[in-house]
Amino acid sequence: MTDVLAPPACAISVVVCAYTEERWDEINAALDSLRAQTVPAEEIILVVDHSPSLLARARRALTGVNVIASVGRPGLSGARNTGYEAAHGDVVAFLDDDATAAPDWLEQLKRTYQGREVAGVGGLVVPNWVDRRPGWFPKEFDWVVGCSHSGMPSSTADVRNFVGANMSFRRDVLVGLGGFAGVLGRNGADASGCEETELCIRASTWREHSRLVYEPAARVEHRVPRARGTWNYFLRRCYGEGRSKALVRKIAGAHHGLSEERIHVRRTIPLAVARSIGEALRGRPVAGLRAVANVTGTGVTVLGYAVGRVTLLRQVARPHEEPVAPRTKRLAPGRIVMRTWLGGTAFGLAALTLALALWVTTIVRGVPLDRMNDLGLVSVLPATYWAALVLITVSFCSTVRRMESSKALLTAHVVLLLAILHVTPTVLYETLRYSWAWKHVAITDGVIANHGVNIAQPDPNLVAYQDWPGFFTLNALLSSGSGFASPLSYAGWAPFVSELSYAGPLILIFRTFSADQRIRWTALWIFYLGNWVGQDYFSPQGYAYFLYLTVIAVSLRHFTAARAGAASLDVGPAAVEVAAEASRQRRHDRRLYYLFAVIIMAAIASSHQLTPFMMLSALVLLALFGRLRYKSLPVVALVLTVGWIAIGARTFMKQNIPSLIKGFGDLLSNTAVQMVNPGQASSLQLFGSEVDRLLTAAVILLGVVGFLWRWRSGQQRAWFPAALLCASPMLALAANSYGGEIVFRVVLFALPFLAVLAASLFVPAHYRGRRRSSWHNAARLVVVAGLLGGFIVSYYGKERTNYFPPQEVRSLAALYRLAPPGSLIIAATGNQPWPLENYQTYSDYYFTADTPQVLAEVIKHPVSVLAHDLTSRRNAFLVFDTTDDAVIESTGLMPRGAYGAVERAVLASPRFKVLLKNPTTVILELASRATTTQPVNA
Amino acid sequence: MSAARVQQVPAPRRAGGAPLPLGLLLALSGWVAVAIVASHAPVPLRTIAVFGFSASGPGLALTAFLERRDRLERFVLAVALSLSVASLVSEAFALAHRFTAPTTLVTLAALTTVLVAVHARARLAGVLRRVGQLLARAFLGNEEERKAAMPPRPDKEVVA
Repeated sequence: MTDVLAPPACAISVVVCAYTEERWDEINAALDSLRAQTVPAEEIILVVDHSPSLLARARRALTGVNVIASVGRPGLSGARNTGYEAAHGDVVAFLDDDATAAPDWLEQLKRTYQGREVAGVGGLVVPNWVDRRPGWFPKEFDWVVGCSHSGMPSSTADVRNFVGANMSFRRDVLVGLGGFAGVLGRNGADASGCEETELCIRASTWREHSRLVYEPAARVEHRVPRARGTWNYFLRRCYGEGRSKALVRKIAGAHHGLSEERIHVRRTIPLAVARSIGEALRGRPVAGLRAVANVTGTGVTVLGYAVGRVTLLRQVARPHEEPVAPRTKRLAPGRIVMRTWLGGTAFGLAALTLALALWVTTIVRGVPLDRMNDLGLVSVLPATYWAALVLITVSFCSTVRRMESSKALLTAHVVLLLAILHVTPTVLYETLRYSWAWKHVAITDGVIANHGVNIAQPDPNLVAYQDWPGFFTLNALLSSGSGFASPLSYAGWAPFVSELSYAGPLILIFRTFSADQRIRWTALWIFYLGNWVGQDYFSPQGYAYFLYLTVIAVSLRHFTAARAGAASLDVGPAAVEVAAEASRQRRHDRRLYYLFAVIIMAAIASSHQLTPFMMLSALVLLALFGRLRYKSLPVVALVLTVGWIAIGARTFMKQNIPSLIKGFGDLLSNTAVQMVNPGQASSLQLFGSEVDRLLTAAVILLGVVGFLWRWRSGQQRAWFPAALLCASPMLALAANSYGGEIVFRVVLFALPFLAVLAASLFVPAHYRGRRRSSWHNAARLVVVAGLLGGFIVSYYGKERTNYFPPQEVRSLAALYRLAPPGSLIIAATGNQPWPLENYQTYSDYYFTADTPQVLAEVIKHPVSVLAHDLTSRRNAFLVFDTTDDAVIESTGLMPRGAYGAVERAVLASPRFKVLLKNPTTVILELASRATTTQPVNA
Repeated sequence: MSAARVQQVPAPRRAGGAPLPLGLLLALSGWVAVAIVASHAPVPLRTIAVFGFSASGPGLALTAFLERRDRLERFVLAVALSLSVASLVSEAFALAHRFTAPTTLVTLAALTTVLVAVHARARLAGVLRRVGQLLARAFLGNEEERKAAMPPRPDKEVVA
């Protein structure tokens, strides 16, 4: 009797996928089992996955089988997709090429396809071990070898997914879903993949009531070779499966993606472990091993899952996209390659724009500069500033770790960093920052006014500038040529422009050490963060440093010893001609570079006292260790340096030879730096100077470790010049204390080389694959963030002494309108925004610079001592200001509160007359003097 | 050697540096800067002219002699050399108590022009040679065609 509701006709096409001839026997066994079915298949399709030899052999040798080549991408999914597309049955069943079907397999499958809502049917897969099954291998982990594991239903039931070796789907479901997703599957011997799970999850959402049915009566035996019964394979597969599960979860959502695994881990595994232990206790120790394998396998799978989840949080899967291979890696075909979203150009640009916006907001909103405490700007910068810094740090670290990041993007990062760090004070302060910058502006003004350098100037403080005038005359040209009254108009931009200019020669230098752009740009970043010494302001040192870097760049690039590499003899004549021409070019160019180096060294020798010696020691060391082709270059440098000193700097030498001789070789006192009186300094300032030291020590340590690491990798020869140039500035430590500044200057001159050595730590010496890099990238981020924190405190920590409130500057300008030429101006310290008039027209006296006894007297009897000082000159003025207060408090020049006490005593005394008083400045003169008529308001 | 063994290699690069028109521009730029300063033009224009020329003019003229073409290195060297030359020249005037901006600028412009001229002389010779060849071909064209029509002889000139 025909049932009107009889099940629809169900013709089954069987697809077998094969990829290698080595499995020829297994393929034949599979096909034989298909030919021996009780219910014959509609058709048998063998899909050959990109193996021409197997394809030819199969076409020759097999009959009754439709042999086709896979037209999809290489891998199991591509082959399966080709198979179902070529099939014409209602149902497509898949059988692995190393599996054999039970004779009633197709009969059972057909029986199960009863209702239309059955979208797919899967069956039981039984392992067929080539050798014996290992005793420790638990049945719960049979999925590791591609079989059904214990814990699956024992009778017909709905399931979430099938085992790939024994599954079937309705053809229209496959067509509707678009087949298997290519990126996840197995290819060749790759051990991870869960494309079947992914397709099954999608298939169960095909129609509202679609079901996937598991029929254990439909049996297939899956051959398990020897290699798959090893502990290593077991663990690897567990880990790989965990990673794949993370991907499935991402694609299919938490609920579907892990429903069965949750049950498996919560119920099946613990029961199995308990059973195994029970068995072991009853006298079968192998069962104990099974328990161990159960626990370990679960743990490794969970670990793989966790790692996969974390990795995926940073990445996005685009299953149908071509994999993107970084330049230095070769990827196995079919492996999952996910485009890094966090490192992409889009992120970098977005982060940069946001950081720029945040920084501009900070500038526009302004900063309450008058509320700075002893941590300087750090105490008043708003959250938008910190946010901009954090953003640019993260963005830079994620951009620089990709080899294919564009140079333009990296350059933009560097420029914005320099803007945030060095333009901020320039635009926030209405006045020029840092008293020494004022001094240099004054000297330049003097050059312009006097049409030359005034060597006859008796002030010993100014001789150093007069005798090395290169920087000052250059700026005299620039400012008077441009029509500015004084370089004061642009001197505030010196830090930004100087630092930006260093980038050029630094990149050239870094190029000689590494071809890896990650190292170069990280080195540049570390240099900028380590350059807290602040010698980038409007000064001869800032200028000479740029010239020094350029000479070193030229020396490292073109003057290193001759390389082996003559043209080989069996090359054609045209190529020999090319080589000869190239080497002629190089020789011609080298002579030019030599000339250029000499010109620049001449400018260095006449612009700054210290840099020529740093230049000289660098060249001497390079020559001594055979890294300098032209041994005459250090000689020329010596001649230029000494020549200038002998001819142009006679006045300075005459005045200072005794102290120079004394300081020479005195390593201990030369290196004793810092705080005048740490006991009196505020705790915040002490903290600040600790940070200075920590930051310097950190950079030095990183540099040293970097060099040792390169040594370990056998690359010390290539990096040796870097170590040499780190060491060469230290020779200067023995020579002179440079006013207590020498340690800072040594750090400055060694910094580029420390930076490049440090940067090399964050890139593996021998690239071994993606996973290793993650640690390096994380370390880079941590170190860079730490250096940034240190830099901010070190560079901005002293701003209370470096910032001159506009009112203070105006007050002093008012003083100069009052004071007749030749007047004496007395203040506590020389940290003042003195313009040129101060040096040319007046004398000054700073009582903290006098002997300790005199200072003690001032503190004890301020009124009498200062009044006496003021009587020494016909016109004399006394100045108190907040900047002096800040300097004294931070360096401990006077006991806490002493400065304030002196000021109050003087104000209270009738012997002094107040000329000007406002919150930032107090100017007084002797009451007995009648030079000025009334108090001035500024 | 027969023609078959000669490898196909690109011709070696001849003397590099800016082509002639750019050199002319460079030489003129100094005088333009001098003119701008002398005419007391508004400050922004003078700033660009003076800073621009002082920081790059003489240096570019010097690096033009280089045959190697590395853009970053050339630029860095150009700036460093310009600043060095500018500071040396201004220093010389200052030590002689004769420093003014216009005189220094004139000296720098003169220096740049001389350097460009020296550089151009070498290239001018090459240009003249090529112009001569073109003229020769124009007037003596028939002779060349006759030579080309003859069968190729074993080429002695190819042997290095």
